[in-house]
Amino acid sequence: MNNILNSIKLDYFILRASGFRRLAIVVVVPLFAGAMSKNPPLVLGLTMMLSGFIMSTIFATVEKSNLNKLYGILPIKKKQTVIGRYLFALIAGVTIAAAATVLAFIVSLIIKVPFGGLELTAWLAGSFLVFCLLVSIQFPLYFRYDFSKLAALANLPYIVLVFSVSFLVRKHPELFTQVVSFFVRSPYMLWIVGTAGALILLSASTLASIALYNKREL
Amino acid sequence: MSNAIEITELCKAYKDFSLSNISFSLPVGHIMGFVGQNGAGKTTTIRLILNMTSRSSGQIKILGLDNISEEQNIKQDIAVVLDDIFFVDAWKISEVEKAVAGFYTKWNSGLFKQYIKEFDLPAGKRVKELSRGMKMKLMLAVAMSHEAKLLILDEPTSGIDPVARDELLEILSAYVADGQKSIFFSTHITTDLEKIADYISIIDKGALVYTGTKAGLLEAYPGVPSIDDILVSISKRKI
Repeated sequence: MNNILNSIKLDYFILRASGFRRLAIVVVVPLFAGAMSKNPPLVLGLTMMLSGFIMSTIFATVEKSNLNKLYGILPIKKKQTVIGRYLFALIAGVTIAAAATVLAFIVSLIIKVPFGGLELTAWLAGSFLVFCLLVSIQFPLYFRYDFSKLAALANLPYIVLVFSVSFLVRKHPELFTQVVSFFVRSPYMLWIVGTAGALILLSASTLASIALYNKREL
Repeated sequence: MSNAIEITELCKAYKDFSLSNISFSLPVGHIMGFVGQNGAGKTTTIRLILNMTSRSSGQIKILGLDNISEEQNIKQDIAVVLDDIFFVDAWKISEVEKAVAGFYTKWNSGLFKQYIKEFDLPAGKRVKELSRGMKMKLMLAVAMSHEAKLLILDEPTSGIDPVARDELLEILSAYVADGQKSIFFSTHITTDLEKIADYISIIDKGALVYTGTKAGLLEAYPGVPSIDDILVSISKRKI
């Protein structure tokens, strides 16, 4: 347990050195987009999506600074490194979601467009799910391969996913309508589906990362 | 436990290179120089010792323990300095300590600060602003601040100026002075070995050519005046 906490702390120092400046951009762009489009929830959705991409900065820094050698020297198991990184991403996701919600409220007050209730629940649960999906797809790939070798290809799964969902919605619009009306009838399910989905994704991805990272030579 | 390192019939096969039947031991309290030309297999051997890469066969014992099944325990007692720095460029020296100290149960913050002062390292500077010699000293300060019993160095003197090299050799000699600590030290600069090594192992093209005391090496190759000449002869296969 102690090593997992140390691993989370190490990831914090790695991201702080490289990603915090980018995280500022991640906040500014959604704020601007939300205010200009007079759509406060967009602040929440965009911030979470861009943050999901920013999390991979850790792997870029690990490669650039030879940190795999450091991981090879430290008294830590590969499994603990992986679990630590996912927990760090989860903590970051929750913190960013809370901050983005506050920002979305500030924008809604400034542009005088009300925001809350079911709309907030839907955007918050959906955005968190997207953040976890981004992390769950990227992390196993970067645990196995160098960031520089994979950065161009890493977005491919999202493109495939977006096209598949668009295709499904166009081909079977009744499915989409059914899903929306289900959540309108039972809004609390947004929380359950969003949180459970995110945790299932992260858990499955963690197991995949452990298996892939164990095969990697440091 | 009388050996800090004990390697038996270690083999590792790559597509274009293989390490074959490496066996040697380093007694506690001594310095062993691991010497060979670039590409001879020195770094591969060190990576195998640290379990950073998987071996094909053989056994490695560190401080009497198996290096795979007891990896975490062993790594508490090993300190490592590699040929290139492995800290984030943007970290300040103080942040390096914050990032790694928690992993070591015997981390001594006072000792780390003492080394930083002794080595004249500017605590406020970032890693990327340090010279090669300073980076080496920073890695040494981190390595020596958790009361490790075995110090492993991979080409620590390559690329640093002669003054910094002499300083490093003095630091290493002082480190083993209590007779409880050992140093395993890979290099291709033989003058370093002549100054501080008690034992020498020579590797050439993935095979061990000699392992034993420094005096024994010179006796084994009569008529060859220095370790450097022995190495040249081995590489040319004249001996």
